Amino acid sequence: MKIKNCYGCGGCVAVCPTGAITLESEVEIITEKCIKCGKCELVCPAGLITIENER
Amino acid sequence: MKDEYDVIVIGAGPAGSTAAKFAAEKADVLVVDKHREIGSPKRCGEGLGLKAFEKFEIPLDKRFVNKEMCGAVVYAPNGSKVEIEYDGIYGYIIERKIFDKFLATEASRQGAKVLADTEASLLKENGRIIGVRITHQRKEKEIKAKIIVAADGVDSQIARQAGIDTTINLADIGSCFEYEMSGIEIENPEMIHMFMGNKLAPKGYVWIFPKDDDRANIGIGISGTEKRTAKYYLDRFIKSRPGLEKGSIIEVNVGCVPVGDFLRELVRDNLMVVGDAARQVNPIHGGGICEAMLAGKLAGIKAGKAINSGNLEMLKEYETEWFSTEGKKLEKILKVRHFAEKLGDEDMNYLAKVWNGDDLVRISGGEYSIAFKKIIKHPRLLGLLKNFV
Ligand SMILES: Cc1cc2nc3c(=O)[nH]c(=O)nc-3n(C[C@H](O)[C@H](O)[C@H](O)COP(=O)(O)OP(=O)(O)OC[C@H]3O[C@@H](n4cnc5c(N)ncnc54)[C@H](O)[C@@H]3O)c2cc1C
Ligand code: SF4
Ligand code: SF4
Repeated sequence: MKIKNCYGCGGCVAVCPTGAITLESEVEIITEKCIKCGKCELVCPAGLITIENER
Repeated sequence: MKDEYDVIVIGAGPAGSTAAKFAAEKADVLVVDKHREIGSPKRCGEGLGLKAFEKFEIPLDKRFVNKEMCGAVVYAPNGSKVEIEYDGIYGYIIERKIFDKFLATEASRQGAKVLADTEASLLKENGRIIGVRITHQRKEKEIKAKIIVAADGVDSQIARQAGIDTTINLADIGSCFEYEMSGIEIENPEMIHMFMGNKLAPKGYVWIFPKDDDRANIGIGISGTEKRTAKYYLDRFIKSRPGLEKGSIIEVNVGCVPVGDFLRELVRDNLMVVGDAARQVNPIHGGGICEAMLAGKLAGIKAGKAINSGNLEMLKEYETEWFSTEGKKLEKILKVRHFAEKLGDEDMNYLAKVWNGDDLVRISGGEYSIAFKKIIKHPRLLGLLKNFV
């Protein structure tokens, strides 16, 4: 999953427990590592992330 | 660029550039930053206390000093104010983009080599850190180093690559959104303004830091656990104030700041972690520039000495000295944050009645005994205090 228009603040990367997110010019969530905990969605100051099937 | 340095610093923010400057007194230093322009994007309210200017002999250069702060006004949820007034100047609202470049320039003047547009990752051999792999303007290169300083900010990947778990709990991160606005009305632009309240900014605050009489950084930090976004709360705040609403947005900044548990392991083998990467931030107001520079200085000095003496064991002294000085102070301030997080709006209104500006200054510096004596008649607050000690 790729997040467009991301501000690159790194908040989601900092809270992700599995290291599933990489940050380049846009955020990329590597789905195999993602455990769908929803933390990145909560922390994003701009509300750019939506994790489906949150636990 | 050479193939080998004594020290490589990753990240040229306040922590990294300061570490580089002090390490460069004794060692051969390279500093890299992935951004094309050091200092940009700014992700900062740009408030810097006088203490930092004095401690680091920072000149009052017009190119990065926007406006003097003569004090602060803290607003309780019911609108009542507590004013923190100083006889002289309390600090300055700076221009981070120029300030960070100034710090990087200072490092280079001390002999460090600075390289922007350069992303780094750790280079290991048989599990040992032997240097970094960099991508500079799309070209990859391996550079060896005896010591690595991870000054790579809140989402530190370098410390993670070294095996230190830097994952931050949601409750320990401030989710921030900020506009730099012009053409606004600021009541008393000589002061900085901070608005508290659980409906306004849950477990955080809204700030107005004036850069001119009609221009300011207007931002918010809220708890990472909050369902609604920082942007939602900030937009709502601005909308409710016609003097701000009519203004223009000249910059948008989004950032996260570590405001909770500090990283404990600051040194592993030949790697040191400094600044936001080590969560060295004042947990009450989220200011981290001065703390980052203090940690950078300490780490830089130790790195230089370790190179000089050939004894890398010395690096551990950075960790022990940090936690017996500045780190210890931050620890006390964190306790105050944990107390403040439990306050309801009514509690805050009450505190605005019994506390004055001096109390707030002492508390944000971790000295709480005088202020806390003033609230022992309030049964609920007294209960919160019991958990505190
Ligand atoms: C919205 C907001 C408002 C704030 N307001 C204030 C304030 O008013 N006053 C105050 O004192 N503090 C404030 N802070 C906190 C302050 O900005 C930080 O504490 C400070 O910037 C920390 O400095 P640092 O050098 O540790 O990290 P940073 O300034 O974040 O620098 C880290 C650098 O590392 C680089 N980097 C990261 N990874 C790599 C890599 N792999 N390779 C190369 N380079 C890399 C980044 O590009 C970045 O330049 C605020 C923070 C936020 C989010
Ligand atoms: S949902 Fe959780 S595991 Fe998945 S990317 Fe977000 S923070 Fe990481
Ligand atoms: S938290 Fe949001 S804005 Fe920040 S890097 Fe992640 S997706 Fe981008």
